[in-house]
Amino acid sequence: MTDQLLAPAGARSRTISAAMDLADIQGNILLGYNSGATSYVFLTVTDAAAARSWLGELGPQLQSAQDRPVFPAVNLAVTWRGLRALGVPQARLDRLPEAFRDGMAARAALLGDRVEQVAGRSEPVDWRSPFGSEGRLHLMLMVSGDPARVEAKVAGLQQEFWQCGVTELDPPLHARHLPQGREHFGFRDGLSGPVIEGLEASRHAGSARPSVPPGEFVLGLPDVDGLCDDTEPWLTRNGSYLAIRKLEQDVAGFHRMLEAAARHSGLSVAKVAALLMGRWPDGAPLALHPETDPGWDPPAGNDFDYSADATGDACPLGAHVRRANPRGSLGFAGRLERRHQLIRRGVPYGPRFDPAAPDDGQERGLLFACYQSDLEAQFEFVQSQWLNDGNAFALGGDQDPIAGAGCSGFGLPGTPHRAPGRLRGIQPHIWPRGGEYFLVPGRRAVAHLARMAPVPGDDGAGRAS
Amino acid sequence: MTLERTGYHRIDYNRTGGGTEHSVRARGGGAVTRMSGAQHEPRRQPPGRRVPVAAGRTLPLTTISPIAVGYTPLLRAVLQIMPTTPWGKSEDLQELSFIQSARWTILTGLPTSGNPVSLKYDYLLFETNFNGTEPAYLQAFTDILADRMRLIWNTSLGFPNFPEDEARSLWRRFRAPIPGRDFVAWVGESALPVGHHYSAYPEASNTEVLAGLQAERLLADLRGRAMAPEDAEGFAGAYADGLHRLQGRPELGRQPRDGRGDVRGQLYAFTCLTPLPANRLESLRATLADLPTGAESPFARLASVHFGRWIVVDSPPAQPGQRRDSWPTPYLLTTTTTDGARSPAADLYRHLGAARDAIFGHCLDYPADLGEDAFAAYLTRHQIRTTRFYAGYPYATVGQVRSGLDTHRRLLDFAADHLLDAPRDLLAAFRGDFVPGHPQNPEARR
Repeated sequence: MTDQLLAPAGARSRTISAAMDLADIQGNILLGYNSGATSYVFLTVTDAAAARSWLGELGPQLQSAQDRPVFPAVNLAVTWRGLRALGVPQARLDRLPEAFRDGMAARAALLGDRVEQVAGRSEPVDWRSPFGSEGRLHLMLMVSGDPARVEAKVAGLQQEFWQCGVTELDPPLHARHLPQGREHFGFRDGLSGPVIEGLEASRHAGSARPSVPPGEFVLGLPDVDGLCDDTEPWLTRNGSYLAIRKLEQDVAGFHRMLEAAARHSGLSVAKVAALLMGRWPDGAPLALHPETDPGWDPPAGNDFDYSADATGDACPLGAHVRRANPRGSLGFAGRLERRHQLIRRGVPYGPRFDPAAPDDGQERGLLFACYQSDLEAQFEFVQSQWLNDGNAFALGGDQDPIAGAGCSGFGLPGTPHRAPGRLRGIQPHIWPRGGEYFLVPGRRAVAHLARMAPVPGDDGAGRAS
Repeated sequence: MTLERTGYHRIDYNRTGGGTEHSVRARGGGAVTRMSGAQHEPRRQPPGRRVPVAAGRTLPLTTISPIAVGYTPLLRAVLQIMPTTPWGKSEDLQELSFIQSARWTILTGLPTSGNPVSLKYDYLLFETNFNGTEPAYLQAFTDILADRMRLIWNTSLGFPNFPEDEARSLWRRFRAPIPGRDFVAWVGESALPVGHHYSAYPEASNTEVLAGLQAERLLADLRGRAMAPEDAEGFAGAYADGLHRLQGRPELGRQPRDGRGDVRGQLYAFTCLTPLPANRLESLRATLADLPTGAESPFARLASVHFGRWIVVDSPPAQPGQRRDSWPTPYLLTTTTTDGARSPAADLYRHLGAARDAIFGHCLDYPADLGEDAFAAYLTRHQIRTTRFYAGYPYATVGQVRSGLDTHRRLLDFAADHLLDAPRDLLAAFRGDFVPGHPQNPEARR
């Protein structure tokens, strides 16, 4: 028995600890690799039997969450259409969650992306290959490590694809961490993460932040209700749903907007940027350092909340990091937020921005990635309700200034030295170029998929053997 | 079922002394199994996704659920008494920030023009207008107000429980926690597909309406100050303070202590069930589906309607383990939330226009061509009295809400335009934009 859960003392305490089956869970879900680079390889299945056989060989090589990762680390994600292409019976596929079945393209309008109707399908207009509503993206390999070894590993894998029943849809997307873990706008990224019961709680001893049950991220473990998702456990157990979004960033445009807002408001460019983001460029949260940038302060980077800043005096209510992760902003001791947590694993792609050549015509951006157990309640909710709508934060129709779907205003808090005010014409300089929903299955589930063969009499409605 | 196969445990962390029950449950679907192998009644998936008919940012939800036999008086007492106690205070609902209105109506029989029809069960009819997503809305209640939810819904058949509570008596379940995702699935099973849905201000969410009403109060205060002799510093201070508050959480506003009956504040909750011949069911559904929406909705012709909807009810959805209760005929459910603290029946006659005949003409005993009094009497005869009614802003009329939203937008635009103004300039600009009749107002100068 691998999943040993311990009941704590105390009535209605809602505290559990779980020894997760880390050897079965793929590594990047629970471990932030911070390995220098991740390359994403986009595959379509052309021969189901050969692809299953290849998965059988690949499965044991997938990096688990148990040990220190060995780089280059390889991880595997599969779309709903990928499962179908591999031969998973339709009746089993039908039981998987609706958002996963639909795929991200079909839900682009809900996420705020521009769509048009093409041949009866809703087609996101700004997306690019390999993403879209055609549904040919079946598998994605994520190879992480230092850039040179990652590229060598990817090249090695590519040489094998011809005999693996898969074909590459597009050249790999090589995403590279920028110095100091920054993204292209110049902010340190990846500082924020949930405290997971039985995992990170033990790593950050003394953290005051409430923890989240592991089942909010890993399928088959107890969730906020204390219940375990048992939908097709042979396939989903110890897996996690992954939402990726390729977000192109217009860095020069972002800087121009900041400069205009600074002129309009009399604030410095750095201050405007920090107010919109909710953090200073080095990562210090405005909630703790509202007036001046203290520089790099790792311990405080993730161990804070907004409970003492209900009116947004320190960090504006509409700031990006506050919307994306409200940390007590919604009252009720954070209980309205527990079902909407994400594990974020974004990596920048494209060349580093050079202020001397602002309009260099190069595409750069963020390969946003987040893990969860319920795409609808977590990624989709955060994007549609917290970033693209202001009601939860009493911000009316204002959208997120960094990652919302459209232009809006932005309320500036007053301080003892400055009257409150409002910025107009604040709009995101991030363009969605595609995305998809994946299952990142447990390693045993990969082995199940590899062994899967048409079973006489199994119409998919029976129990997994 | 072997341990190796599942390896899942249900941890009883919600109570002391428990903790030995091991079970597996799907989220809102699939089998619920205990380690002993005993099978629970599986919670079925809703038979098909209800097509959302959101009016802008306002989502409608109407559910109907059978009440356990004999428990109707208890439920009525709970609904009527609770709002007057600390356990049922409206402030909690206001704090949740996304409820524009909610109402509970106990149905102890179906209205007809002839003999009253008795039913196998009494029913709890629930209607709400809210912002956000349905699962998040529902789970907020299970996470924040579980005790209150139990008090109201525990007597409804099929209400979900954690596996270890299933076998307990209804009384012993009154303080049990609610499994959030199962609750969402249960509501999905109990929900009625909405035929037509209207909001008078579809682009405004609940907090936006509240902020608008606050903006009106702020504007009135600032106007008063701006009319006074020169005190630019004082004006700027009041402006900064008011703007700061306006850009934070809105003031929640006054709520009446009593939540019984059809009236709350100056609002009226009208609920009416008119019987349909079975052969008109599909034709009425088609009529409702074809109605224009938004500003063209028939409800939009009544200046007093905040929210309105029409739903065709065939028979209530069956609950797990219960036989479907067959109603003698289908019904048209009409609900409105209107200004004036009085029934809108006569207003509906006067303003619905051709839609009145097109919709109610499907119903049994509809008094076509008999005039306003006959129509109002017809609706009143089929009206169901609301048992409990909650509204996010019970004292605001449609006109006040719309005006507030406009004022809010204008004040925020003003704030963006005059971000760095010195007090004197700020006061002059405010007079120019907001104080008609003041010499500094262009209208007055003209």
